[in-house]
Amino acid sequence: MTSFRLPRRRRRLPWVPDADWVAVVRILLHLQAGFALVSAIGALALGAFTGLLVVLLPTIAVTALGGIAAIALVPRLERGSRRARRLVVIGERVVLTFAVVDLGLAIGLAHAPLDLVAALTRVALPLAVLRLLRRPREPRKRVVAEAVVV
Amino acid sequence: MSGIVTIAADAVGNPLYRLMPDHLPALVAAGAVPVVALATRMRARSGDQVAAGWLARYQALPLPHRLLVWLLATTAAVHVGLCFMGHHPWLVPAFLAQSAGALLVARRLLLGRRWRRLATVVLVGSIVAYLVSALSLEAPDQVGMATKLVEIAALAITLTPARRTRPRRAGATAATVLSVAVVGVGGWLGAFTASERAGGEGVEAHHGQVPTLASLVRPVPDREPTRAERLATRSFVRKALRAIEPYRDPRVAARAGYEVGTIRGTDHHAGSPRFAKDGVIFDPRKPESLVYAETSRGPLLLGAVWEMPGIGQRGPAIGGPLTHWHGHEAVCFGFAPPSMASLVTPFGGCPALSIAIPRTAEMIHLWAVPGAWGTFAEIDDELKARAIREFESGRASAPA
Repeated sequence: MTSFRLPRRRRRLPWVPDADWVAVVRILLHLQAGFALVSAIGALALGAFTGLLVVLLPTIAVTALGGIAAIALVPRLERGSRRARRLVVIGERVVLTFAVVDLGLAIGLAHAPLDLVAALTRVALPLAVLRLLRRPREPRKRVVAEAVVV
Repeated sequence: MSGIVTIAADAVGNPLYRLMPDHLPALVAAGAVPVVALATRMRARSGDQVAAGWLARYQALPLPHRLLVWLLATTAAVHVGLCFMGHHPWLVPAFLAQSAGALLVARRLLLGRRWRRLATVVLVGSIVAYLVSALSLEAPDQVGMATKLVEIAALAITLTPARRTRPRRAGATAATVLSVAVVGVGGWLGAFTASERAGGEGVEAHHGQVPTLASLVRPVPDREPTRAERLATRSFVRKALRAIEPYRDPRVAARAGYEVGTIRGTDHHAGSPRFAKDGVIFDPRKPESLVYAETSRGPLLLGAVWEMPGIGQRGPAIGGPLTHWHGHEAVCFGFAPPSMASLVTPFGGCPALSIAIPRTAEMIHLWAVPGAWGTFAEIDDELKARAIREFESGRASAPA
């Protein structure tokens, strides 16, 4: 009986911070902190304008905390903290998930894709952070598949 | 009133969420940057010594500085492209100066010369000039905001200190976050002031109509209403005001099927799922929503809203230029708790735990406050505030 063993998927290796790459992540996270600040200001202004400030306080607080977290995680990332990396990856995935929902709404309701700036800030930027923080894979082996005769 | 529904494809929104056609040459120029980079690489491979030299210098740079070269090249290209937009010719020298400055910084960076101070001057100058333009000259659009995003990223790299002391790093972080905030708030203010400069729904130089932020309006016919239109409007308004009179008491509205809930703020919309789904359009006795304000004396009925059943359907203009239908766009809806959370920011984002509603159905408001009895258009916020003050002070808010 002959069976074929599929090539084993290359394992992810532990993350090793690269100073150059983390320096770019630092810039991108600071930009995202700025976006969070602008969003919080927008919610604050709307709340003050419509008298809904109390209702919007949780939203404002969570938004501002997101921005503060982005700033606070940078030094830990630079020190090579894997927990910080994991938190940033989770945060970026949340941003991407909301961007995908918004893209679905934009296509469904307005028959249009995301705006240019939204595509940059909510898709390209988180993808860049995820790419820069990606764990390396183990080196590719030369043998792709092997036949095992039992 | 069914049967009058057409698709509202000609609705106009604020330029903040749009690519203005006259800025497209800038986008094309930005798209040329990777082409030029690829051409340089190919020339270097084919033995061109000059191209090989520049490529070697580029490849010797650390990653953030390589990214900075791309960002500077992009903003330089965009400003060259803006020279072809065909209006404000007096801005062309400024665009060319910005472009030359950005390219000079990139050149100094590649040659290993001092570049940070010049980069800061060029980038801060460009950002400040844009804000001044947005607040006084023309509304910000997607090309403008994307370019400022590129410049802020370039500025952030520029401000990252070579010597990594804690105060310098904290200063660089604060400068980056603040510059994003200033440009974001500036973009919003620019969008609002462009609308005000154009008289709310009027005409601005090359951008056409500039509705206020998050509003989608259809151009109203530029003519006086006919006698038939006036009579139809008057009849509708009379019937509608009579129909909503009992709803001054929110309990009556709740019994009629309106989801009044807890009235908060000055723009509380209580919708009626029954009227929204009954297939009847623009019936004066069946508005889809009521608008209340929270006051110290209890809820105040401000007016009513009629809404089209589907997005893209055009509302019936029974009064011609008197019936101003409008929609909304780029509104953030939050889930903690469920309510409108913000307008989409100039950077395309919403607050945490909220989604962006790209477009709503067309709607029309009828106001029932002193000073705006029976008007369909948007009313001044001061008028609304005055009605609330008068109601709170005990003066009757009856029709004039």
